[in-house]
Amino acid sequence: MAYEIIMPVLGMNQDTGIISVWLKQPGDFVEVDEPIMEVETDKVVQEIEVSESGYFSAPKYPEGAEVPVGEVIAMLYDTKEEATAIPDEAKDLTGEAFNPKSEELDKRSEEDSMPDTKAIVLKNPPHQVSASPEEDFNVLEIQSTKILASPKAKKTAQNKGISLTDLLNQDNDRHPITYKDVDGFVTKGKGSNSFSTINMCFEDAPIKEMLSSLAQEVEIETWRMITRIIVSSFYDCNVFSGDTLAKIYTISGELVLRNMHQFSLSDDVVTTTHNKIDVEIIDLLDFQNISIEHQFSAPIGFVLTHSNNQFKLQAVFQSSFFTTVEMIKVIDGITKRFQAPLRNLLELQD
Amino acid sequence: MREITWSTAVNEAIAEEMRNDKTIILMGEDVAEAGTPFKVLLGLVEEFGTDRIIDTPISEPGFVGMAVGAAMTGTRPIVDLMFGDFIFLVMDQLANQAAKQHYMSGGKLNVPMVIRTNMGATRRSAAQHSQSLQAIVAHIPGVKVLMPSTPYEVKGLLKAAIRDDNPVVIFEDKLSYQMKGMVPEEEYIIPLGQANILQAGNDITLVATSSMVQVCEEAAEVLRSKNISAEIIDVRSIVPLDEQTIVDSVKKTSRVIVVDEGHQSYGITSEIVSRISEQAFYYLDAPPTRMGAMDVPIPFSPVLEDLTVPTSKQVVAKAIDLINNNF
Repeated sequence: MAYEIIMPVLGMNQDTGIISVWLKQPGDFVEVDEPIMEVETDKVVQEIEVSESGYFSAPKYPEGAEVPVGEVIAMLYDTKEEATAIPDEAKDLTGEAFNPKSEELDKRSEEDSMPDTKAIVLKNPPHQVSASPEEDFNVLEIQSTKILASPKAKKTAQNKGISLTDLLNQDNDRHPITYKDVDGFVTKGKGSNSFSTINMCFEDAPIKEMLSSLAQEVEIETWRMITRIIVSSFYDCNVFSGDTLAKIYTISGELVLRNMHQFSLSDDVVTTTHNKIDVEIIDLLDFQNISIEHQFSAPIGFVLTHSNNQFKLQAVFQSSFFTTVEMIKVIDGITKRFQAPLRNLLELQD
Repeated sequence: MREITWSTAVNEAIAEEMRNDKTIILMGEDVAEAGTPFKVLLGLVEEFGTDRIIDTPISEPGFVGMAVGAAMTGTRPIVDLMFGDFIFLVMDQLANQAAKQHYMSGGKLNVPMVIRTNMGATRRSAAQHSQSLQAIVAHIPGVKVLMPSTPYEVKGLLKAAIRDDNPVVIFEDKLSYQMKGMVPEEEYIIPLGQANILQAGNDITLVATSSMVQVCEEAAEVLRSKNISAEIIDVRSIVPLDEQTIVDSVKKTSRVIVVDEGHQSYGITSEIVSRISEQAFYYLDAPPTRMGAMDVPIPFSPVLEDLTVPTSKQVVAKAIDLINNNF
């Protein structure tokens, strides 16, 4: 069994003690009540005895060292082998420690020494004294990085497993994160990244033409009456098979993305799917100047709006899934398709 | 229900209690034959006589000390302290004697004394007659402190105070004496330590004492027009404090302003904010905020005096700041 020897408290206002002399060598057997060191405080020099027997080991401080009370300063072990198998750095200390200076020994004041004073010895130290303190320190440092957030926001973020770092954006340079920020973030979905938005406008004239020529087939008269538009071969953009890819907001009706192949997150992973992508449709007919950023739960979303003879295609995407350059390509592709020959652009869903 | 003034409510509370309990006496400067302060006690001496309604010399330490002794020996004195500012004169009698007798006698002595006094500025009474010193009294363990906000509250609370076996100090706003309000004709009591949720809301809690309740009501009205729903809590009883009602409300709204007319620093508001921080910390979305009188002697100049106390405009501005994360 191992025991810790701790710097004892000898006076009422004592914070530290100086180890004036080590009286034992590492490996020496120490009996109960036998003195192992002398401790000097601002009032007394005192021999310190142990309350357990064992082989003295691993003195952590050299003679003359000032040590806070309660600090572990040495160990006692059951066997000599344990006691002598000590780390290298401790050896250096002991080499120094076990050359008692005679003048310091002389300074010893007999009347001050109280024979029944014992070092506090703790059984079964719960953790190794030699455990690297730097590790703990690093953890503390990481935790102390200040992100300003209200207690409620912090608590909510913690409950939802969101890191506050992910919530930081330009706005948060000025304001602490509040509940609203976390809540808004949560409704955006499991992703832990901020959203970006790209807008592209194009004239509606060619589309109206295209749509009207399609009218017999798809029973639509104007853009506003479109019930279903299918954009096929949605290439060059990163999506995930099977996942909800996008929320699509149209003026009225449905926009379906198909054949989402050739789609890769990275060069070596190519996802191919012929599944119909799960698309949520929200009708924006009654909304003016709608802001949709906080309504997405999918990694990508599109909003098509129509005003002043112009269509506006707005793409909102999570920046961890798509780069801005990729997104511009996607939007460009979509708008080109709208302006290209009709068959390339729009297909009836089977 | 009928509409009566604050003064009438106080008068009724005292008269009703005195009729029920012959041990109740009332003493103070000018409370009997010399006329009554703020005309609140009109008619009492005629009904109860000078044995029970006692004019005292102008010596606050003297007659409060007398009341403490009388309370310990079997009467239930109501002491009229004409201005709250005179609390400083009676601190030994109140804080060292009255507040500690029950404890130091091992429970053998009670001091069932009520001190009726006042607080509040903007009455052009200058620095020595305009202070709001409730925090100073509330700091002393053993004294209960009440701050009614309407005629209804003052009547119910005063009756509860008179029946309480401990020293109770009840602070009335000087400007409230002519305030009118609905008060039931039948008898009622407002138990000490119960706050009143005046108006429910979701966006911010306004915790207020005494006349600041009216300030917060005005503020809530303005906030409503800006689509902000404020919950108003009338604290009513400072000691004992109804912590639960306040904390529950803040847990709901996540934002709070505490308003009291005492000086802002080291006051009632700080205490309430502190308890909110301790008990609703993880529900707070903005710093819990105090509002009180400026930390200056109350000026005599009307223009300056009006600047020192919290107004509904300030409460509105602060509430909007907190809601817009402007802190």
